[in-house]
Amino acid sequence: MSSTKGKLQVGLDWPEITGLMRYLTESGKLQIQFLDAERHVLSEGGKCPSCTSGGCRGIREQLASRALETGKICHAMCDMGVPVTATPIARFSTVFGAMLLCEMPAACLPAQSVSGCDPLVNTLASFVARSSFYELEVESLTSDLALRYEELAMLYEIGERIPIRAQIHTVMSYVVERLKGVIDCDCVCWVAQNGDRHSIHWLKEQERSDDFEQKLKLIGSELDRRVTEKSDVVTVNDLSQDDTLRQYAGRISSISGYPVGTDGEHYGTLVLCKIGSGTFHSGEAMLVLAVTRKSGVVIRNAKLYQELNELFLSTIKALVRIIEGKDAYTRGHSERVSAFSGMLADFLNLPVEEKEALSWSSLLHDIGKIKVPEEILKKPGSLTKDEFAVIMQHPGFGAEMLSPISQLKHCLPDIRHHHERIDGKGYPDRLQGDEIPLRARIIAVADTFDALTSDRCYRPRFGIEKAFQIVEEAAGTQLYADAAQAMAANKQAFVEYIESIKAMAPAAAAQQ
Amino acid sequence: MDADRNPSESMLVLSVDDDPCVSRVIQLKLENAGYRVEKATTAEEAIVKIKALRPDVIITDVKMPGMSGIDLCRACEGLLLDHDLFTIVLTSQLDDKSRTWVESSPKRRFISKPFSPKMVLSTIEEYKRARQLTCVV
Repeated sequence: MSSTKGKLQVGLDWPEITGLMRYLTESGKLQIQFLDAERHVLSEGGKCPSCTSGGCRGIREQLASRALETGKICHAMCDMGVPVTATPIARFSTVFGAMLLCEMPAACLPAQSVSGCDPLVNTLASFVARSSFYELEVESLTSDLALRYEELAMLYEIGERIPIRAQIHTVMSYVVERLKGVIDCDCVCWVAQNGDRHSIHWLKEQERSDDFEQKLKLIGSELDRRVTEKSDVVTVNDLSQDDTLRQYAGRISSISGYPVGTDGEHYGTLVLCKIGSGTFHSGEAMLVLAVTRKSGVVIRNAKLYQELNELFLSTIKALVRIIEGKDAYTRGHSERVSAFSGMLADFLNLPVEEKEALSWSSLLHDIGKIKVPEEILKKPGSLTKDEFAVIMQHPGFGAEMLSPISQLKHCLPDIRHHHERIDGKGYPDRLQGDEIPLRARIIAVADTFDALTSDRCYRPRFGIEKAFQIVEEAAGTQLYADAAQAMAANKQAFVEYIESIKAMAPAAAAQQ
Repeated sequence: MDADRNPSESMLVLSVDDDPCVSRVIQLKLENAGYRVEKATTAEEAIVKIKALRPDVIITDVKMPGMSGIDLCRACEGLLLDHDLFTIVLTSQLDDKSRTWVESSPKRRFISKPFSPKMVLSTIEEYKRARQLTCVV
């Protein structure tokens, strides 16, 4: 009979055991010992003169082994003439250990008590076997429960923890990372159709080699093809039986591919591999499929969000172009300020949400100029005090005009304060330093730089080096020093951008 | 760090949760990794065990009958002034105020339920490494 060994669970202080032991010792059994499956003594009770003097050493081990092998109660006599009984402690095919009893010589006892105790000894052994067995079951159920916890946490996190702005790669690396700890396999990899194949995978360290990764690439592509064709899970257990995949298999024994996607959208295939041996089962398939479907939803939501965002942004751009189209001097100004602001935000390492808000604020910063009369805006010479007072109202106008759009609520302070100065001499509210919102401070640097590098109705443009110099000199007084320094440290990027729009300008002019 | 504590002795973790399944899962995961684990089902029971056993790590639920896990954390601060104690708050819901408080100290960590037992283990391992590092210094 094939059997496994289990951990023996027994306590001499268990009330059930103490009761039976008292009865056994009273009825002539001298000593009880519990041995585990390796025949080590775990606990003992009572006192046998033969055992204490070492007279039964050999026979005990021998008898315990026999009981464990045969699964039956075994009797023997020790050197000092003490009868010893070994009772196996086992349940179904699991062996936990044995119970040894030393008895008073039969002659000293009423005849019935020696063999008459066997049923009682049996009861005690089966009680211990059962407790050990249940403990074993609890342990295996607990480890199963731990795995379910792991799965639940993974499913929960894929929905809850991945930010809405996450790119497809971020989502899939998260999925690969989480799955490797939950699913029993040696390699997890995501295969995308759009050129950047196999960019994300995890592989057991000892299996890493160029040759393996090459094979993985070929197997991944083939599996992705089949999964896309079937729009369903494809599992190949035992690759040597598959005509196409056999040649790439190497040490890979089984593979399973899951479509990543939702509602007809396909974002590649998630590939799981087992190396050496092992097959995939339908139980884990349901879980992985739930994960790939859910990640499909997360990816689609991110795409929809991005599209909505782009739609909003391009609508704003169109609006701004119409307004700026009236004035040849300011044409393209807002888009350039937006580009410069974006570059500054990158150099200053702003978080993604800040960058997004900044892209809207910077595009719309001058929208209030629509309420400023054209003759003031286009006046070639210097402005009168009254005319300048009107100009100074444009940031306030802009913020006020956009206030009904709730999605832009957080951008309104940026628009209102983009003409404030660090030293407090700006307008409209004469804020200073940190009182000015960060995004407004960045827009001010970008706005100043674009004004300097563009022709205006009242002056021609400055050379680009001169413009950099003016911005640097204004750092800390008019302009936000950190942003001005970020510009000074990355001049090349700004020069390249200006060159690139110059190159595009003739084409745009031809279009118009 | 207690001077009388044997550094080679495995760390003792106390899991406090009114759901015995959670403590059982944590116990299995951590014992397999070589930690000693004790369990308590209420914060009150936990306090008795903390005084008696002086665990190195406490993993506590927040919503429990009687004292809450957050109250337990605060009580521990007063209880074990001379003792290095790392606390993991393991819960599905935590109001912002409590969360800010939990995260205000490197000696406390918040892990949300449903939780990954692996993550609990790796958080404790991380703490253990950091502590060994400071011990060497």
